[in-house]
Formats: sequence, structure tokens, C-alpha cells
Amino acid sequence: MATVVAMIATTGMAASALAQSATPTPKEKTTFIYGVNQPNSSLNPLVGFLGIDYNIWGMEYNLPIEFGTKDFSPDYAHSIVTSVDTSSDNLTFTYHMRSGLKWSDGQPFTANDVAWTLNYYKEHSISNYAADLALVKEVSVVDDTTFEIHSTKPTSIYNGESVFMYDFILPEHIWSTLDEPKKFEDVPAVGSGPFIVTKSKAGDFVQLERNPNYWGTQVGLTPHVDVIIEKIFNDENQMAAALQRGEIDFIWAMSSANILNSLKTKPNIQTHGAVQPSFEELALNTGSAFQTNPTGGFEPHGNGSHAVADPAFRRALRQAVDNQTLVDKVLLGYGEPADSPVQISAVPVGVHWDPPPDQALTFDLDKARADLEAAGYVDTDGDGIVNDPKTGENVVLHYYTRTPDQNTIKTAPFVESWWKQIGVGVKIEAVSNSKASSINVAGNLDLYDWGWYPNPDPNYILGIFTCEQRSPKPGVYGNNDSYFCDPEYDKLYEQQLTATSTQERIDIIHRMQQILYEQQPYIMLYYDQNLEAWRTDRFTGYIPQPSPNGDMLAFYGPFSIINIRPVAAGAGGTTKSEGIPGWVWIGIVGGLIIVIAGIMLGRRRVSDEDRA
Amino acid sequence: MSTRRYLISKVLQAVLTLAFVLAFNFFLFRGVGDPVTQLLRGHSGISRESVLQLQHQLGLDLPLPQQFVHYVKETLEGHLGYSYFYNIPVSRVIAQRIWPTVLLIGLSTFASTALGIWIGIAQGWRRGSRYDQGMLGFTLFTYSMPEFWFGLLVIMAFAVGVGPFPALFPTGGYESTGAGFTGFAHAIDVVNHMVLPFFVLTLSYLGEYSLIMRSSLLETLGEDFIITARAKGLRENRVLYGHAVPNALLPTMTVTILQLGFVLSGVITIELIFNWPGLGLLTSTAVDARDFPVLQGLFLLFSASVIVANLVADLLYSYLDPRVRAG
Repeated sequence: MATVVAMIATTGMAASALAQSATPTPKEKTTFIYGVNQPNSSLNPLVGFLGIDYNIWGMEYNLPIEFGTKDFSPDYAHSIVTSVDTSSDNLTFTYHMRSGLKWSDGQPFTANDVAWTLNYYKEHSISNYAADLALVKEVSVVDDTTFEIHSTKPTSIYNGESVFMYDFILPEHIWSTLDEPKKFEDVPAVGSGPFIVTKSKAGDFVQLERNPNYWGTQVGLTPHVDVIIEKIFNDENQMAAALQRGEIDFIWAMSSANILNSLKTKPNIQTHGAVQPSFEELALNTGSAFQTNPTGGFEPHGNGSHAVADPAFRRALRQAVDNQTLVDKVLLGYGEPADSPVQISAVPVGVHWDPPPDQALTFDLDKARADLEAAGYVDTDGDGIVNDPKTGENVVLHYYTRTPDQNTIKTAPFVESWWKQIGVGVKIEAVSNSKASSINVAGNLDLYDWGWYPNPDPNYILGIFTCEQRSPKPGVYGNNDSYFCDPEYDKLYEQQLTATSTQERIDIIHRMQQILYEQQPYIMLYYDQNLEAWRTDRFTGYIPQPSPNGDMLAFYGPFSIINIRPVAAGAGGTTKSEGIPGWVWIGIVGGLIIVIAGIMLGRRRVSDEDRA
Repeated sequence: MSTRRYLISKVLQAVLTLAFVLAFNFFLFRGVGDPVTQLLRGHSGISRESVLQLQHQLGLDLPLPQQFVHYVKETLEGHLGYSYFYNIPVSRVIAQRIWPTVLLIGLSTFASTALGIWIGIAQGWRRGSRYDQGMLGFTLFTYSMPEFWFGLLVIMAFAVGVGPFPALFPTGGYESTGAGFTGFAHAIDVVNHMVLPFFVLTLSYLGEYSLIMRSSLLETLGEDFIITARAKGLRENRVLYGHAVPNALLPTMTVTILQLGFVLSGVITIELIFNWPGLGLLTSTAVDARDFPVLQGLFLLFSASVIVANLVADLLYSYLDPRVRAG
């Protein structure tokens, strides 16, 4: 018995010593880890569609012209394109590129890659980029550092005064050889950005490493980290705990303001509400069941109410929503009231429009009630709910919130209470995102609460309000979830694309925002902020985009990621195993084995006595 | 019934059940919403052509019976299709998550079973004692508490550190991402990440086994053959472990094998709060994204493992208890 115990103990100690000496030290690479709260849909730029997918591509690939960090203006000093010439007829745009560019595999990066990529996106209607290339007839190559965009109509959108093409340029020598480009996983990738994806596990992490052939070092863009990891979390409490413990360096995009606020008091942690091009709205069904067919191909469908199809009714509802209260109570201050779907930081600079004070539909329940009455919505039966002048029925709106977004659920009781005070009934129902989409496509709603994350250029978000973007019949998706259809608006949409000067385009877009404000297909709620937190003792050098209160990782380009560096030598980013060291585990297991062996030997003695 | 006939009938039953599950899975997920609307929202360049293109790409423009035939054919050939959300083969999405689930859930199931049985035996043998009452209260408490709540407390106490509790373990995940560990160092890294969820799961489920074992043992101790064993002069230890426990173990063993069938389905709440990249978490993500191919693949896998476990339990039980075969 003593021999057995001694043998076990000796083996345990020897194994422990072996474990200590055998444990290799991790490679000495500076690693920056940021946490996100949802998995990537795909790392393939032809297929992925989430904001976090764009973040990865922003580090791997280049746009023709990069968004500057200050205000999204073109940053020619740090782009592959250095200048743009416009022909006198505004139909041909000549882009001049830097020379000596390379892909991460050492192959030359030339105008041919740009032309191939943009032509591919256009010919194959790649949905992420199709709207940007709507007026492109063809992209041709002049020489290795020059390409031309030929437009179908005179326009200013490709003149380079603003970044219009949010389109990642791919290596032609890789992608043109693929049989099924949409099934290509793009890991490991070949790119031109400062970092390249080398490893990923669906729903777990994406790892990027420095591009050894990054051209940006020519213009002072030298990264200070070796490895970047996007770590995916499914629970924000866990993500916050990981930041506190130092397992990650940065939290990008948290949805819970409460959890963010709990991090404010923790040592070595800074929190931030980043201004971002995101907004939340109540999308009103402006009449999927009643609209006639100005553009062809639309079938009236659904059961939305007559009242919501009336712009005067919608304007009254708008005056009964207090955006500031929602920002304070629902977002806990992390946002600002919104009036236009074109965000404040949109480009071209100055394109955002605010209603003048004499036209503003400010929160005023008395005025809302009076305007409802003037429009014919009166409580004729004395039950506290106004009646539809067309049908005589009580106006009770079917209002959908979405379970994945708790802010929509928190907003609903406020809206219900305000609208009740002006005599409008509300029936609230929480559904999943997919169910909400299906209901909207069927036209069976009065309103729902959703949001958008538009591109910096407003062309995309303005486009969703055109007649053509409505779901044409049940079961066929359309982006225009308010079913808004206004021929004047559609005409202006086409005109802003073909305006031949940037200022002219801005003026047209102002008018479009005014129409949307007057018609209220969306009751704009707020521009919500991106909730971020980071360790102050790990990395420094974050550059907000836009300045000064934007996203600290500036993921519309790679500039912040390039600039961040460890706080002090050795302070940041080398990962090591967290938890109990290996030799301690060996000791624990060895001890357990001894105890169990002792118990079993004891039992064996007893059972021998039993047999005796 | 002869053993051979019994075996054949049980296997046939299992195969038919699996075939039913295969068909049911297909129609079940088509009732929960259209994935195209979910996938397309927010795309800047959506046109009618894009919608039709995506529907065609996903095979959703075919008539339903044709989609079903295609689905059965592909499944029997081992192709589970492409994930709508991740855009990689479903088999790869699932394969990446199987081992973490088997490791955590399998080990914790084994531990909670072993510990639960040991506690249940001690309780049943010492019925009415302070030990029995104390452990009854303890196991009922741990079994009834929400495991995700307990998990959050454990993270606060041992991963983040609160008051006297040091931050001993990682807050979650399967391994230290980006550390590049291999071999023994990687194994230790995984062990460190597994300690807390393993602890929470083991404690949360040991009550199930201890209560069944206790109850079963109490019933067995009242049987005549136990009185006979005592009358023969056997020591109490021999009566317990030689006669009572082997007979009392049968119901617990059945429950254990059936529980092993559920190992693959993971525990969603624990995987969520510990960020453990298992199949439970994958199921949750796939439901939200309406990722039909992944859901179909997962549910087929879960159903198959439960059916196989049920079959093994049936066969093992009939081997251990001849009365079952004779009946």
C-alpha cells in the first residue's frame, strides 16, 4: 500500500516538473483583441452584409478613395487614388492611382484590379455595392495607375469631391479564377489593407495579421500591432467581464447602456458613446393596402389602417412623440433626437437637413390633438379613442416591437402613453426580426420599430423610400418598409444622382428630406450611439471617426487600427493562458488520484473481511 | 420474446423514428418565417432581381415537394447543405462546435451522474438522518436554481473577482484566442476555461441523479431479498453494494443513458453566458437567423443521438434485467 502511494506521489511530482518545463511561452506578438456582440455573416465581400463584416473588410481591403477620420471627407493622402479628373460633359471620370502598390501575396495592385472589381460588382448585381454603381456604364483601364469610370448620365457622384463608392477592391488574380466566387470563404485572404484575415472560426473569432506588403507604409501608415482578433460574444455581461479581467482590450458595439454604465466605475476602463450613422424609427405603413400603381408592378396588399395612410394623421402622431425623453430614458443619454434619415455626419459635408423652427413638428400633445381634430379624427362615440372619418371605426394601431432589440420594447410604453393622450389606441406586439420582416412584406401592420445603419453617403438610405423599393406583393421582399411612394420624391432621387455639381446635389437632397419630414413615413426617433469601452492600460492612439465623438476604432477605414499602440513596452496584448498554471493542475489531479486510491484500497480490505 | 426478435424490433423502431424526424424537420423550419427577408434587410442595392436571385440560390423558388426531395437526397448523401447565414457548408459549421459540446456537457454529465449516484446511495442508506435531510435540501436547491443565474454569480466570484474571491479563471470561451498554444499548454488552457461552466453544470444537475438513486434504493431496500441477505449474516456494506445498489441502479442507469443522448444538444444558457462555442449556442444563433440548413442539420443530429441513446438504453436494460426480455 505504501509502495503504491509513493509511486503515485513520485509520478505526480515528476509530471508536474515536466509540465512546468514543457509549457511553451506564447509567441511575442503584440495582439489587440476587440469584442463584438454578434457573429459575422461571412468574410466574403460579395456575400456578407453585417456592419461587423464591413469592419473586417475595412482592414483587409481598400476603397478607391478612403473616408477621412475627421468628417468622412475624402482622404487622398492615404488612399490608393490620389486625384480625380472630371470630363467637361460630366460623363467620364479619370482616377489616378499611386504606383508601386502590392497585394499581400506580393503581386502588383494596379488599375486593372479596380476596373475588374467594379465591373464585376456591376455585372453581377452584388447587392452590397449595386446602388453605388447604378450610373456606371463601364470602368476601363488606361494604364497601370489610371482607370476611368464611364457614366450613363452626367453626374457628380464620381467626381471624387465626396466618397460615393463604398466598394472594396479585390485582387483580380485571385477572384477571377474562382468557379463560384460567392462560395469562396476568403480565409486566408489576399488583400491590400494593413491586416489580412489568416484564421477564423464561425461564430467564435476572426484573426488578422499584419500585411507584410502593405503599401501604406509609403505614406506614414505603419501599424504598431501584429495581430488583431475580433472575438465574438453572445452575452454582453460576459463581454464586460472579459474586459474587466483584461481578456480583451476593447468592446465595440454593446447594446446595453446599463452594462456600459456598470463599467464606468471600474479601474483602467473608459467608456464612450460613439456618434455613428445609425438611427431608429417608427416605420408607418403609409398605405400598402390602398396605393394605386404609379410605377407598375405593385399590388395593393395587407390590412394597414386608413388613418396611417393619411399624412395629416402621421404628422399629428409625430407631434405626440418626445424624442428627447426616449433618448434620456431608453438610451440613458447615449444618443440624440433625430428628424432626418440622413445622419448628421453624412457626406457630402452639409447634406444633412434640419427642419427650420417654423416647420418643426415638436412634441406638443395639445397641438397634436388639435391637428387630429382638424384632420377629422374626432372621438364620436366618447370612448376616449378617435374615430376614422372614412370608416367611423376606432383608430387602434397595430404596433410591432422586436425582441432582439430591447430598446424597441422599452420605447413602446412611452409612445403608447403619449398617443393614448391624444386619443389614438395602440396594440403592441413583440416579434422576432424575421417575423417583423414577414409581417411588413405582407403589409399586415400599421407600424413597427426598426432602425438602419446607412452608408455615409445618403444615396442608399434615400433610395429605400422610392416607389420601386416597396414590396410589390406579399412574399416578395422590398426595402421600402413604409410603402412610401411619391412621384416628386422619386423624380428628385433620380435628379440627385445626375446633378452635375456637388452643391446642386446637396440642395436636391435637402428638398428630399423636407418631403420625408412633411409626409412622415418614418417617425424618426433618435440617432443611437455605438457603445464602446476599452482598457486604458493596454493600448492608446485611438482616432475617433468622425471627430471628436465618433467610433474610436474608425472602422470606415483602417486609420485608428493602424495608429493604436501598446501603452508602454510590454504592457499590451501578448496573450497568455488565463487560470491556474499547469503544474498546479497536475498536483490537484495527483492528489485526487491518491485520495480515490486510498478509498478504493480501504473498501477492498472491508470486502475481503466480508468474504471471510 | 426471443432476444433476436427483440433486438430487431427495437432497431427497426429506431430507424422508423429517425425517418419521421427527417421529414418533420424539413416542414417544421419552413413554418417559422422566410429567411430571404431576414437576409436582405439593410442591403443597399436590393432590386427584384436580387431577391429572385437569392431565392434561387437558396433553392426557395422550387415547389415545396421538390425542395423536400432534394433535401432528403442530399441528406442521405451526407450533404447537409450550405448555411444561409455563415455561407459555409453546414457540416463544417457543426463540426467546429461538436467537440466543445461533447467535452463540456459530456464530462459534466458524467461527473454529475457519478456524484449524484454516490450522494443518492449515501442518502438512501441513511434515510432520515441529518446527512440525508441536509443533502436533500442541498440537491433540491441546486437542481431547482436557474443554472444561468448561478453561472453569472460564479463568473462574478471566480472570474472577475469580488471581495475575498480572487479572479482565478477566465470569464469564458473555449481557449485563449490568439495565444497560439499547442499540445499540453493548449490542453491546460482549455481545462482552465472549462472549470467554471463544468462546475456550474455538474452542481446544477447532480440533484436529478441523487434523487432518483435515493428513491430507487429506498424501494429496493424494502425487498425480500435484502431481508434474506441480512438474515444470512452479511455485513451491511456487502448488503448495500453487493445486493441493493446493483438492483437500484437500473432506473438511474436508464436516465443516465438517455441524458447522454442529450449531450449533443448542449445547454444553451450555459454556453451563452460562458461564451462556450458549442452546439447549443449554434442552435440559438441559427433560430434567430432562420438558418434552415443549419437548423435541419442540428435537429437531425440531436434526434439521432437521442434515438440511438434510447436504443442503447433499451438493449442494455434488457441485457441487465431478463424480466424485460421475457415480458
